Amino acid sequence: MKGKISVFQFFAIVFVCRITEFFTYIAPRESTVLPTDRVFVVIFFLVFCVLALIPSVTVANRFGKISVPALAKSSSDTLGKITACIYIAAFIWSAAESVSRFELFISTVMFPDTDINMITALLLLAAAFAAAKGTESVGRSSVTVCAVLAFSFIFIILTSVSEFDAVNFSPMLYNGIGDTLRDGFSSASRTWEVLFFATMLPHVNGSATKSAAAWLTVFSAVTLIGFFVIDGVTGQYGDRQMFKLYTLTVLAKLGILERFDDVLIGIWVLCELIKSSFCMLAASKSFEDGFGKKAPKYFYLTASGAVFAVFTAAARSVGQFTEIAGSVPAKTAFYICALLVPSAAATASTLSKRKAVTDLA
Amino acid sequence: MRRRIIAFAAALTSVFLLTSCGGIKITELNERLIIEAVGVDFSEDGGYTVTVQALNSASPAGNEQSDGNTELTENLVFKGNSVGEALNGISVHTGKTPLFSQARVLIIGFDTAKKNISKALDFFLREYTTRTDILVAVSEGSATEMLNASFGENVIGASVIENALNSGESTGNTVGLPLYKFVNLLLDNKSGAYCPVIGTQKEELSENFRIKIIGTALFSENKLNGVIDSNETCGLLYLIDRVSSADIPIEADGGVFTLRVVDSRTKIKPPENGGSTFLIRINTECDIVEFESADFSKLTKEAVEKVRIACEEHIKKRAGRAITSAYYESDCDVCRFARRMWLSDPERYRAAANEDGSFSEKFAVEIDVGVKIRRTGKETLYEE
Repeated sequence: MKGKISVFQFFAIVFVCRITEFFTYIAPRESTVLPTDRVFVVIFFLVFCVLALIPSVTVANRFGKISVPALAKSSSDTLGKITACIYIAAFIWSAAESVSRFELFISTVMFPDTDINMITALLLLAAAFAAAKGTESVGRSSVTVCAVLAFSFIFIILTSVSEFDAVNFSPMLYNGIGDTLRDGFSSASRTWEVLFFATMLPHVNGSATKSAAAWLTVFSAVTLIGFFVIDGVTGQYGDRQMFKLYTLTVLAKLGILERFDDVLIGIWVLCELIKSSFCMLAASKSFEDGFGKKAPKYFYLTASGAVFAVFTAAARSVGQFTEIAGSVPAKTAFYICALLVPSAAATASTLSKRKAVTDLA
Repeated sequence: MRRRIIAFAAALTSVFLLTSCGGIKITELNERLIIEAVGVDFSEDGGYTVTVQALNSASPAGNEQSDGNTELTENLVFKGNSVGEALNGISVHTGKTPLFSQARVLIIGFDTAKKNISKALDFFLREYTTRTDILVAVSEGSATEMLNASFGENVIGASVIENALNSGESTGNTVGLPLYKFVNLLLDNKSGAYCPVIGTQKEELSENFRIKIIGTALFSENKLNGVIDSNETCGLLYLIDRVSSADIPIEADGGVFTLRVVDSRTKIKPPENGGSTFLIRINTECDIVEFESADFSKLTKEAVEKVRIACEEHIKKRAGRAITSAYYESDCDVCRFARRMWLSDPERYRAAANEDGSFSEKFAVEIDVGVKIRRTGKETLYEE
């Protein structure tokens, strides 16, 4: 069907978007989670993500694959516009957060002495262009990137296993469960991809529940394997490194093949492109559903400008970035968007339908 | 059509405007000082002396010196209050930006390692371009002396040192350790860190030097606390499961046998039921590659069995000596016993650990060696 993507393509997009965050994962400053306990962090992350996904997936299943802004609009035009604005802001923040993290990565390991605002601006322009090409184009590109990504990831893991040392691990929950729970909650509250399920499901052919389950399961498994190998190979050295997975890619080698970090950086740029473009696309769909009209001609350009502005404000330093991204307002905003907004839209829609039935009676 | 023309014009403009030559600061290769090896020593005045061995970029084949020698590398020595400041001095002197991503080895002077190795290493953990797997070693004297030694014409000294350090697992005489593993051990207060100690030895027939493997430096609380010789290092390699190949000379009935290790696995079992003895089980597989007899006599099954038992004793003795010197005498937990105890019995560890999480109690160690003779070379066994 024109303008729609398959469940697998949707899975590929959301997976690529989320895996970018894992690649450029920066441990929370206050984190004291020991290596083995990261298993529990991933489990808690999974639980919180499932909770965050329930309202959006329920809306899609119960109201017949309608986006949350469209559902809100069905009960009130104003509510529809407010919901759309909330989601547009959330997607711009999500893209900006991702680009900021990527900028920190690039400026830390690639061009430490260089101001890479120009590269970021070009990346966002390219993302705007990709978004303008539509959902199907982004979906197809994601599948390709996902395949390359899977191959590289497997290769890195397999070539690093020889340096694995189980003694680098720690006893389970030695420092208690508190920090583990907090890290799981913190990681889940940065999973803005959950909002794609609230806005993009009408453009996906197939089951909402299946796509959500596949995404969370595969992503959690990849994260778990990734952390397991990173901790087993690099131990406390890796714990001190800002970008853990990058540290592992530097070590991966097979015969004369080495320095996979450079290859992976190229793939990460593609992942970042897909994430930014899909965020812009989701923002434009939210606008269309919430306002009930086509997005303006220069929507994507304006969105990329907004992303750049937020990025410029947020990524001045590592400290500033981690403080903002992990702040209580940011976490609260995430749970408002993931839990409160879909629930409110569903309640409002149900009430307005009941009222309509009562009025008719 | 208009759109296409605009798109083409935009693409063409970008070719001339976005060439990476303007606002984006890119350092060209000829502006780089490609570093092959770095040596760090503490200066007498409290600062650092940093020696850098860099590729000589004066000409592709090296720089023609006044005496006719062609040098592939040049050594630069600078002082500063910190490693970074000393390296800045090198940048000022050469006008080039140091590039550490090609560096093969990081040498720490012996006296520096004795004072505090963390201080000397910190720069390399933070510096953006340093490789995670650069090899670390302590020099017998100062790092400057080590890097200034000439290993021959058209030879990159750093490459010679790297080869010597990498040979450990196949020769069984040195523990080649990359930076990330060494730092992992240093950071872990439940483990002891170690790295190779190397020196130079003058060749008899020339003015050049060759690498001399001294042994292994043992660290306790970031300070070099002792050195074990190359025989004990061989034992250490067995203990930490890092032997992939080594030749073992055994004197037994009828002559000297040379056994080549083809596979070796070590398992360390923590104490059970509140005990305090770690059991180290070393399983080694060997080939007999040489039997130095007086009359080409054939090997008998009995002789092979005797050699096997002698080999077990040999490995056990070396591993025992290594554990005594490292663990008991130099207070360096090379087998990571404390960490293993932490993993296997966390509550017992918590009860006995110091406030900072480290562990002072010493465990007893029992070593059990099993040797299997895989082949006796091309020759058949003599049946009596």
